[in-house]
Amino acid sequence: MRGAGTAVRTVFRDPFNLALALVAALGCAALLGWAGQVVSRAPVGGLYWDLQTSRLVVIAAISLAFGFAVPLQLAALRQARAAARLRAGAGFAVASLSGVAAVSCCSPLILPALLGFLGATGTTVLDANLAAHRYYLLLSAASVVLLLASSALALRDLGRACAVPGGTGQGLNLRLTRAARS
Amino acid sequence: MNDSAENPRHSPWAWATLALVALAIAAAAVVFLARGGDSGEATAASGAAPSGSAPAGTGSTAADAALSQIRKQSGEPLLDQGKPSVFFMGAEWCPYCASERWALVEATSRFGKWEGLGELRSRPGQGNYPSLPTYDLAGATYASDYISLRHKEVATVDGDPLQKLGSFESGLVDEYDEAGSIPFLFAAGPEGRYTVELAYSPSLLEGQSFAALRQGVAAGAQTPVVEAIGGEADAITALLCRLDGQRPASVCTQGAIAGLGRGLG
Repeated sequence: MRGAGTAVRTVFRDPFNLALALVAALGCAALLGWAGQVVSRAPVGGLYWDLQTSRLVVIAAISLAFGFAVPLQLAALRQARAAARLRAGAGFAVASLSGVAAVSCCSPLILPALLGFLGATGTTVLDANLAAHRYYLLLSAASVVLLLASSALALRDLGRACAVPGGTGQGLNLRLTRAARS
Repeated sequence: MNDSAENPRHSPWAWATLALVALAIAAAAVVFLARGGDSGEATAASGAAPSGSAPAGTGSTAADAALSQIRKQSGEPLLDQGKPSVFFMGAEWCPYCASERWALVEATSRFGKWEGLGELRSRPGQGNYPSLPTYDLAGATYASDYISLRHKEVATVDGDPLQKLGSFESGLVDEYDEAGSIPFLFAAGPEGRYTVELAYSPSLLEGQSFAALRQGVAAGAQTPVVEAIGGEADAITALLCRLDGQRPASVCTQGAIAGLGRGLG
């Protein structure tokens, strides 16, 4: 991917993008921690923390990949053609969803809401929840891979923009600057 | 390349939006943790009376908390084979289901008789809980003159499919468990339909053995886990008394159960 390194440097040299990556990663970790019941709360018994290593590693990996992907996706959205935007956006959405599904336990949050929105019945959602639980390791791996893949796609698009005027990154820089000013 | 050329300028609004999102995440986390801390302290300070095979006899904090987790879904009557209907759906790997089974067995034992109850441990690491002791209901049967109980375990400890839902049960899940969450505990009678959510943390079951906990529940031991199970069982008992016309009187007229029944609204 020609120009990918320049694209990464350019995107993350911007303090706003760094802050965005940090907030996105922390937000993702908070959501997954809640959905995965790393911290759970009950009327009787109060808070319960369980910092199980394997689950924390999964959450950290997904959150880091998510935080890395968000600024790249936004930068790519400013640059890419419509088809590339759709492709990158779809990969990003599937990756995020599979991440949430992977760490959900007995009362998942986002997946049932989406399935319900699409008209799925309670038994259909139940089957989906049980399947998500059954294949959580596979889903976790798929989520990280898809997030990284969507980042790679974004980098490829950005890299092409970087490579146009002499391969110095000026093309991307100027485009981003213009986009921010407009 | 100077900095202004390398880095696009972001408007103050973009920075403000990002800051607001960060603040919202922090605020949500603080509210969640603060609410959890409060409930834990209230429980610890309550000194709630325990309950065993018989109802507790006093309204306890654990029972009140359990009562708050009972929700009336509809005023529409529903009977199963001419009796008030109870349906429990869980999975053997699920730690929350493991917790709910203790209260379910405790409460329903006051209305009928279980046979073939086995011992089971939930899958370690699920929901971040270690393996928790519970009843194995998959091969058990229940008979009662007062209520009709259906129970299904939809997956094994390993997550493989176990018992399929019948059409009556699927109908209840479709209508009252739209998120497909487990455990699902449903009760209905002539005056309406209710769902019951677990009121206590599965963490209370940690480090317990099945035999010791069963003995503790039967004896009404004054431990946090037995108090929590007893409180939940009392709340379920009060609901079933309401649904079956306050029968048997030996159970339903006891002070705590009658009081909890009034609290159902």
